[in-house]
Amino acid sequence: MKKYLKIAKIVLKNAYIRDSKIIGNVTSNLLVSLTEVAITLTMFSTIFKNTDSLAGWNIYQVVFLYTLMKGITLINGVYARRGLADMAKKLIRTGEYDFYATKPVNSMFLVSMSKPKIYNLLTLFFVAILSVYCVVKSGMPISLVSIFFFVLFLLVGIILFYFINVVSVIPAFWFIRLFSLSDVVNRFTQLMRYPAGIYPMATKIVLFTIIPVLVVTYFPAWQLFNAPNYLYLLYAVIITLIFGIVANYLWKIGEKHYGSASS
Amino acid sequence: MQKYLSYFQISLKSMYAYKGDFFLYMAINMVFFYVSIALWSTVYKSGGLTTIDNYTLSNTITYYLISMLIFRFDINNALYFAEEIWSGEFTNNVMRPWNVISSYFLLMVSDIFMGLLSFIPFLIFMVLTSYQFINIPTIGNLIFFCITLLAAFIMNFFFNLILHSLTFYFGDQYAQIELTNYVTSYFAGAIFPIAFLSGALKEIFMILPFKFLFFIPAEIFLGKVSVHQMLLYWAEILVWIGIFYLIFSIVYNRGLKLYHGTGR
Repeated sequence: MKKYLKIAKIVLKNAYIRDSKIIGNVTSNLLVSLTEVAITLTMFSTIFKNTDSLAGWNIYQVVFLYTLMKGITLINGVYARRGLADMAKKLIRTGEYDFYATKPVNSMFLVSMSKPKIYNLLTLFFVAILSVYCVVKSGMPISLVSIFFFVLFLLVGIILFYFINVVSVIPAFWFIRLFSLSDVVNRFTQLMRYPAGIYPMATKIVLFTIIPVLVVTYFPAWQLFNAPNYLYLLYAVIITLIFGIVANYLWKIGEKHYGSASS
Repeated sequence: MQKYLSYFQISLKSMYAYKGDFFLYMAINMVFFYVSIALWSTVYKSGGLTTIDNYTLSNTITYYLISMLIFRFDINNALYFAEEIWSGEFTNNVMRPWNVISSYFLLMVSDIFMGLLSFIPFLIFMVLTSYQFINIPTIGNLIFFCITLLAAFIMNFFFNLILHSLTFYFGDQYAQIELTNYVTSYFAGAIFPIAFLSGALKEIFMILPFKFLFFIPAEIFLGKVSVHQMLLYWAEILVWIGIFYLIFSIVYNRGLKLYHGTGR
């Protein structure tokens, strides 16, 4: 554990030094992210011009749900997103995966941590402010217990989202070039920004079980505005464990299939 | 002409080599369409609405289906001009006995053509699974839609060439191009119909040329534009093509003089 923390610290420090030297790039990325948030807000405003609630959620609650999705994807981007995207795009195809497979640490961890986007924290700061603003404006009574449970759900959600991201790129071990694998998780985030109530029952079941993206965002947001639900928490923990085991297992199988090639 | 045709064929073959990637890309992009159905069905239902700014639920869902099709014409992922200037690969291209801009155009068209081809099965799938929401256009509207889309595509090509040419002056423009294309897609009505906006914001959107990328073609497809209005739109697109071409020519020719071919 200590070794992994040390590696994470070194990688993050390196990323910080690198990003400090490319301020222009960091600013552009921040601008892209904030523009995306602004555009999404105008869309929500357009939607709520025509209705008071979306599946029982008011505009502030829905925007809060969106900020939660944005926040979790940004956190995932800080430590895993780009490394895993590289896995889908080039590591296997070019044989660069050798570098990760031959190190005396978990290769899944090493690949994930290989390209942190530390400047995501800047966007996260703005998103967090918007998030708090939405909670306050939502007009919903929120207890300390709800906040405590929300934090628990959030932590579980962040871990689960990471495992979903890992599982989505594992087919790269078997296919020569499937760049789009790096985009799969991005598409899933579109499902995470709205209340579960808008989806038909069959879709909801899929989004809570097979592709459990609603557990990542909807559960924590729901928890914040409602009384604690231990069963939901238990379910979230179990499904996260299952996805963790599956991700590790599939990664190992994939690794065995890997033959070190370059092109 | 023969050499351009050969180049186009080679580009197509190169794209076809990675058809699995194309298919996966199309499949995961369908998520956007189904999320839109769920979202807007809920909005119409919970708001007790039959229309939003003259758009019925079917119109709105069809709009998103058409948007999915128009997204296949996305130049952002098919034009490598800026990337090649920045890396220095542009030197190889500019020294060959052909018009370098035509070569980028052909490469882009082959990329988009493959995208469209792979999209057909998914389009059929989406229409079949949501047929109750889909408005079928008349033959006339379909033809007008295609003409408008092609004209808008050329307009967008020249607009993007301007952005890419800025690499000659300011170096790597990747993030700026991405941001600009993201914002223009919003102005174009790619995220929701411009008709849903109101007041000054809507007027600003309608003055800008980007409405021709998504909103106007979709409106034509839905039969919401008269022939007279459409002819005016076509004239407007031609003017914008002229303006963007002119700006591009100036920016490109001056930029070419600054190019050293050293790359990064």
